[in-house]
Amino acid sequence: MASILIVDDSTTMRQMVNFTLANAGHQVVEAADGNEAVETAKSLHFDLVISDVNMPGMNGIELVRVLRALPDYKFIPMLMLTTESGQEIKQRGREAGATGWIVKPFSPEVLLATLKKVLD
Amino acid sequence: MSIDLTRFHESFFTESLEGMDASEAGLLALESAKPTPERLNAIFRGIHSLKGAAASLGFNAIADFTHHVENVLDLLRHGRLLVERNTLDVLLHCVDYARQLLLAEREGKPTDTKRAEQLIESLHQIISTTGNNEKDDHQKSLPVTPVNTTTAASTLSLYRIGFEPSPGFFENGNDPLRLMRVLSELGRMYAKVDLSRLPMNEEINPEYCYLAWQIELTSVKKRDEIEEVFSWVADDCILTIETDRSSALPQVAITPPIEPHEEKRLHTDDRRVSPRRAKDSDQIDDTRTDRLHVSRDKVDGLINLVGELVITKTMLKQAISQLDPASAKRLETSLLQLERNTRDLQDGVMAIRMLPVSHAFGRFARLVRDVSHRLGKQVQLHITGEQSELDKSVIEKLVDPLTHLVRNALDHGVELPEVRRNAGKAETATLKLHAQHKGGNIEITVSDDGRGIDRALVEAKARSIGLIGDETTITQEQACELIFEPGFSTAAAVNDLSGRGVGLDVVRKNISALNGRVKIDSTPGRGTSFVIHLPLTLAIIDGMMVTVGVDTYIVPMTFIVECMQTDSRKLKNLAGRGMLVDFRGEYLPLLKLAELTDTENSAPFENGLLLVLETEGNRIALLVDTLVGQEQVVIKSIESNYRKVPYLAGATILGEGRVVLILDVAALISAARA
Repeated sequence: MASILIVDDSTTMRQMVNFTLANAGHQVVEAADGNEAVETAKSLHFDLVISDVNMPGMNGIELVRVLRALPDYKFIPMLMLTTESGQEIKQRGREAGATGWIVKPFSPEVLLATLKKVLD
Repeated sequence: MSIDLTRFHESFFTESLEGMDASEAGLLALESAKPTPERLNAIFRGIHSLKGAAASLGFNAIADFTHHVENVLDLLRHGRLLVERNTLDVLLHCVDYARQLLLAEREGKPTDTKRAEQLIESLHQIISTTGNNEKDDHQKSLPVTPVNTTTAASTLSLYRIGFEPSPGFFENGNDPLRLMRVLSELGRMYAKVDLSRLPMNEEINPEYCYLAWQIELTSVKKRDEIEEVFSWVADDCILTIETDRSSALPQVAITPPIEPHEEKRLHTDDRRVSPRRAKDSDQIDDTRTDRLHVSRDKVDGLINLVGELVITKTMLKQAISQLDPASAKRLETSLLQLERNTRDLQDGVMAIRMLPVSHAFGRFARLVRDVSHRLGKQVQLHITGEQSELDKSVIEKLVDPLTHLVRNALDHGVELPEVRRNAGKAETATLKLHAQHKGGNIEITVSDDGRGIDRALVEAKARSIGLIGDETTITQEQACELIFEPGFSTAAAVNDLSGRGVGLDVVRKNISALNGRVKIDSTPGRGTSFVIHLPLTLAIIDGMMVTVGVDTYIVPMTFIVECMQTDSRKLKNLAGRGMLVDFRGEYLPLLKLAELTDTENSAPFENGLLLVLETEGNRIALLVDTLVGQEQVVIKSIESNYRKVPYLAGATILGEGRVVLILDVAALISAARA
């Protein structure tokens, strides 16, 4: 049972991820953009942050960079949802501090399987 | 790593050795019984627990070795391998070696690594030569496990993975532990940690990763699936993956590992006896579930205290007899109660040290199996009465003489199958171990239905070593006595089993040291029985109180053959041999207790009594004044309270507070016959 923050400008995406994770017994909070995510992350504590990369305003990579700078989130796992499987985005994400990535589109099974790498 | 784990070492050794016993018993049982899932699981668990505990405590040699054994046992319990004679042999040898490793670690001695390599090689061979077993009956008796989506036959590979995260590994939110956990779900995994980069002082930075691992993963997954686990962190660590297809494992349909969660609990449950064992094992674990490990000193201390209590109670009784009748009456009732309580307490405390004889008999299943195979003989071992209980220290001292007798029976008593067939006997010989309580003693019998003791052979040997004259003949009974003489072995060749010049005389000595005795009964062609009589405990003996002058001494009852009136006509004086007493045709050396103890005013010969004492087949006649009566006494050591005194076995304190000395009959007899 973990506390998970899902950040995506697409409502559908957010709801799908929320549903999958909640069914697996986790507590999920949604944020529609980067700024909202940062505010929420400061006031609530999360065990995992999942964020889309392509978002207006602050993109996913920026978000990871900002969150990593927060003392409470120095070692918290952060996953990026990315459409491309290209190396470049992954590399930039890692450099910003991202833990790993999930390539869109993904099935609920893949999402849950990936959780094992980031949750205890 | 500043936690001191050595406090867990002793219980680790104790429990692990017990675990090895249980696994061994389980393996032996597989020879005659069906390999059910419960049995196979129980055997697996012993090794599995050992591996886990050893790894947690840093006993890497043990952990590494048992890991290989565990692989084979795992295949066995999932029905991937047959229970075959050769497999059992190798596994039994592995259990032996695991024991050796444990004992070596316990004593700080070096271990035999070559042996480990040999055994591991044998284990690998077992895995690679045992192929398709769909046709075998054994397969059907094991549970059908569900097959997962990859139903096509896959190949098992062994991956050797080196995983060294960079110091800044955690900064991306990754955790090696999680990744390794995911890895472990892909097959059977064994990881060894490398602590070489870990600073052992204040330099340690909790935000850095200093650890590295060497991982062995046996899996049907392809290499890219293995690599995928590390896909995020490839740049953040040094990762090497070697695929070892040389220990090529056969094409078998594999199901996912059944208990991945069990691996996680490795470090917590396996050091304690977990209640799980009780309900899902066969008969294998039933003696292990509600035991306490108590230190021997504590039990000895308790026994001492009870002894003191007995004495105090008797003192009270005496004191009461001095009071006036009225007060005496009331006190007496209370005293009766106290007596009852004390007796119960005494029984209870003695019972703590009592263990079933099965603790001594247990190892013989293995011994009989191994030795009979080596000798080419077929022997079946029957054990009865193994629940009879005996004091722990007696059991421990019984093991050597029993082992000797068993080996003797296997080597000399039991004939080769053809010989038996020609003699009209069943080809498989029967060796019986039986224990039974008789009176205050226990009787242990080791008997075989072999060739028996050959009177003529014994006679010839006795003549040849000068024990008897060339003209002297002996009876069957005398032959049975003679073989207890030192240096007596009718084996044509001294083999390493029982004939290393260590004869039955040593067995007899060992039994005597336990205040017991051993006799043989043998019928040529039919078999031989060794019967051992032992007191139930070393701490309390039945003693005969005797007086000489004003002194009282105690003679342990087990040595007393008979008590005779003195008769001057039966006394003979032989030059060079001193005084002898005619005891029904046998001339026994006379020992006057008064002379030995320097007691004045003892009764003259005609007014005294003679005790015929015997040990190890030798007899003497001891002259005392009177017999007072029989007493059950608690032996107290003179040696530990004062120093060793010749001819005394110990002392005891009687009710009235008097100290009475206990005679060491064996020493007396040796001295008298010298």
